[in-house]
Amino acid sequence: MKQESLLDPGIVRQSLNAALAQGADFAEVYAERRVTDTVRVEEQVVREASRGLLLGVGIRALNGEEIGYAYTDGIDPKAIVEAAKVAGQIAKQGKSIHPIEVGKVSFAELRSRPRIYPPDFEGAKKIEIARSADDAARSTDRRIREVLAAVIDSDKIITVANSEGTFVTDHQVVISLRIIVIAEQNGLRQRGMKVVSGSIGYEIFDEHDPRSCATEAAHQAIRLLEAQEAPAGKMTLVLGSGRGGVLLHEAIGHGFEGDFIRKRTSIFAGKIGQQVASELCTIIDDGSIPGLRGTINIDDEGTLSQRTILVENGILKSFLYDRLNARLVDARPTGNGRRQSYRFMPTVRMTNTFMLGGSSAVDEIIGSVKKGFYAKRIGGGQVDIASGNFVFEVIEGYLIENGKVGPPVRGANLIGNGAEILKKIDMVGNDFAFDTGGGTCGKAGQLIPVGNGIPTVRISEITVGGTKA
Amino acid sequence: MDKVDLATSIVKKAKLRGADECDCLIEMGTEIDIKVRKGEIESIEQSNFCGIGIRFFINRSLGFSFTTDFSEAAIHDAIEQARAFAINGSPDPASGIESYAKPEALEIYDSKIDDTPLAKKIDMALACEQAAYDFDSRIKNTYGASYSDHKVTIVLASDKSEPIGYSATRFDLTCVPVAEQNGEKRMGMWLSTERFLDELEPPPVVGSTAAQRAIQMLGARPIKTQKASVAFDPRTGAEVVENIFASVNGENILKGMSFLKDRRGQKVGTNLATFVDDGKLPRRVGSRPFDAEGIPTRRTICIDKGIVKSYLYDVRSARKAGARSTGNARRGSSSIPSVGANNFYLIPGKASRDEIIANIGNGILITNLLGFGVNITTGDFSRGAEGLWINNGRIIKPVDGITIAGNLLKMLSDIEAVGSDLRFFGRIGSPTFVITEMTIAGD
Repeated sequence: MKQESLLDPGIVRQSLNAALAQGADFAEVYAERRVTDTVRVEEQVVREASRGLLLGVGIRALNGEEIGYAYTDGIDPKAIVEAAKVAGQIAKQGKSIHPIEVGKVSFAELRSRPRIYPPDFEGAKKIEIARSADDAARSTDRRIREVLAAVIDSDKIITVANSEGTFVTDHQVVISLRIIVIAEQNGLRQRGMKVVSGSIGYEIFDEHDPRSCATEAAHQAIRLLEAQEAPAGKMTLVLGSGRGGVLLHEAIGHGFEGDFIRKRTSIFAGKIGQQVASELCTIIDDGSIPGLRGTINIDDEGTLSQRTILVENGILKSFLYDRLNARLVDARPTGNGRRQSYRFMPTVRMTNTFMLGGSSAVDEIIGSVKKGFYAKRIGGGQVDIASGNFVFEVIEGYLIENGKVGPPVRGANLIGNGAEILKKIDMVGNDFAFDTGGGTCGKAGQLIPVGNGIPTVRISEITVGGTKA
Repeated sequence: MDKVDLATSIVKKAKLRGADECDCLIEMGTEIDIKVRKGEIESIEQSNFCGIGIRFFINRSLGFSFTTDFSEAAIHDAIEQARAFAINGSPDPASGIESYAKPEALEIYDSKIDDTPLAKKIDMALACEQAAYDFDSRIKNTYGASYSDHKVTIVLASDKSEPIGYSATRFDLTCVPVAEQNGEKRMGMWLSTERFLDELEPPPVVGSTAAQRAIQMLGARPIKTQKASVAFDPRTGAEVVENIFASVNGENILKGMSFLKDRRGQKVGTNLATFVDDGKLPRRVGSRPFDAEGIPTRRTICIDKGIVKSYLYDVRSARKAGARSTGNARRGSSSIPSVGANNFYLIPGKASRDEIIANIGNGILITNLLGFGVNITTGDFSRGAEGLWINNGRIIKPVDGITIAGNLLKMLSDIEAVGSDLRFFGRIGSPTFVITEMTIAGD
């Protein structure tokens, strides 16, 4: 465990005072030092081997609902105080308050305890992992034409201090391996993909062998070479476990974010206590589970991450909050105030979002469908918060015919409405799994690592967006 | 230290540490972002940013590092890291740096960015949101409106040429109102992005256009699953045009990741399908005198009247393909150069939007696209969509909850009409255009 404060109490005091001097009622200093290594092997050469150092400080001043924000690259005390003054200009009137004096910095309790931190793992070894994935994918099948293998790690120290006495620092690590494989047969090209990621050190590859991951991506590309056109129209859907959790992220997760709740722009605003999903559904956001991609010890406002029950047996229980929105609606922050870097203000974001397992065996679920669609692996999705309409992309799908998994079909989007779709979940599998890849969620121009999980579920009806009408 | 001197000194240090070739790109600037909501300021952000990127080649093996910390120690570490990665990498015969001449100047800097007081910038955002409320009483709420501007100076030094640089500005005005009726909520969004402040669409236009786009969706329902004509408005069209850009991106071609691989000289689209990348369009957001490797930008016709003419390259992909860089190298904030669009667009036709709609028998005008679902390797296209249903040349009702699906190759050969209303959304531009037939999945 390696932790150090990026800011000393003196500079914290000076910048909080500068931010509050013009009448703001809350001020916060966020410092970040992030080292990102990227190794990409493409076309069998090391296409990229790079190191990025992002070091800087963001200052936020609040005046009621109004936010002033300024950041500065680097960690020069004069520039930090200058940025604090700029942020503080948001409050042109109002009485000046004094910050609660910060004491010694505290260290966040570690939920994830990486064993091998990225800086302790040699660059040459990172290149070796990408090369071995490339080699394994190519030796899987003669039809493999191209492999893109990337190892990306992020080693980040954050220090957050605010005028209410918070002064905490944390060390956060995320490692990922992304493999894309292109297979070709008779002029037709298809793509397979595998991602492994977690808030864990380089020991992640003890559990996930890069060669097996690459082979899996290669097999997926090969299988798709035989795929037929996807169907179009409404049908019963069986959604695969793990990565299928993206459904929850898009269908309800974003609609539960406290900024959309406070502004009443979400379809779920004002619906606490109402039934929003079938009683088989219990849905949770939890940033404190060791090792997952969306796991954090503290959020980017210094709040401890926690487990929040969003939906219990179909009933809407609670929403997700950062400090600002919690304060404005008289709720408690849930450890969901996150930001891409010091160059952005924090907003309400998910961590790891998942649904608890049920009692049905997977065979039983698939066996119950006479004619339908099996979305075994899905890609990314998007939601329109106001209407609740969402989509997500199927990257590996099959037809279900008479209770059996049939031929593979080419990619298609699935579309539904968040207020309705979870009411249509009528079977929940006993095979709950977290997605070992996790995802990257985009909101307000900021990208954040998140995790997903779900058991296999049956949805009585969804629109499949294929070409075969 | 002056930015040019700093970049030059970094190149010198890298050479002393054994680089065969090297370059250094410095990016510095300021940004302001103002968000308003319900007539009040929601947030004001004012910041300075900077970054140094160093490419270090040994035996044609590339190491790269990036830092936002300009301290001497950090710069020293960055050079050492780039060197270490270069030593551990592998020779890539196509990689390297090319020399470049002093670029021609381009009109891409508006001094109004400094001369306009903050209060006026705030007023523009407020006027934008107010126009949305004024447009229709069913606009009762918004996600807010925003004004932002961005000023950047780029300096590039290498061991091959004299240092070069430019400064550029960018202004954005965005409005996102919500229309409400009987518990139903619809979001509308409109934005204007320009290099010159006075060329932004006026705030009342941005606000009322956004409001109109929200209001027109009230009462939308899915339609039956069927095949029909699909028209894209400039905003959704630009998303399809961006897919075409990805398909002529020389890196994707080399990796076999594009359905347009091996199709140079082939007719893949109708005569209306002409796609161009142009880095020298006067005053446009994607215009710049030179790219991220110092190569002068230019105009490249990628698809000409349906025939694939040229792919887009940076130095490395061009060398691999036996071609010349088309001046399309772009760098993210902290990454090595790769192929990106300058101003990439579909050449407009003559028909107005109304004429185009009048010529559609049965079909849909797509006004919003959702999600991913475009596979440029196969060309398979399937996306969530919303729009306006057209019957006998007239818009009759709003539609949501559908997907539209097809294949990009088939879509190119099905472009039957292209409008005169070309509009850019950032670096990608599109007029309204019509695809003869796609599959709509709905009820």
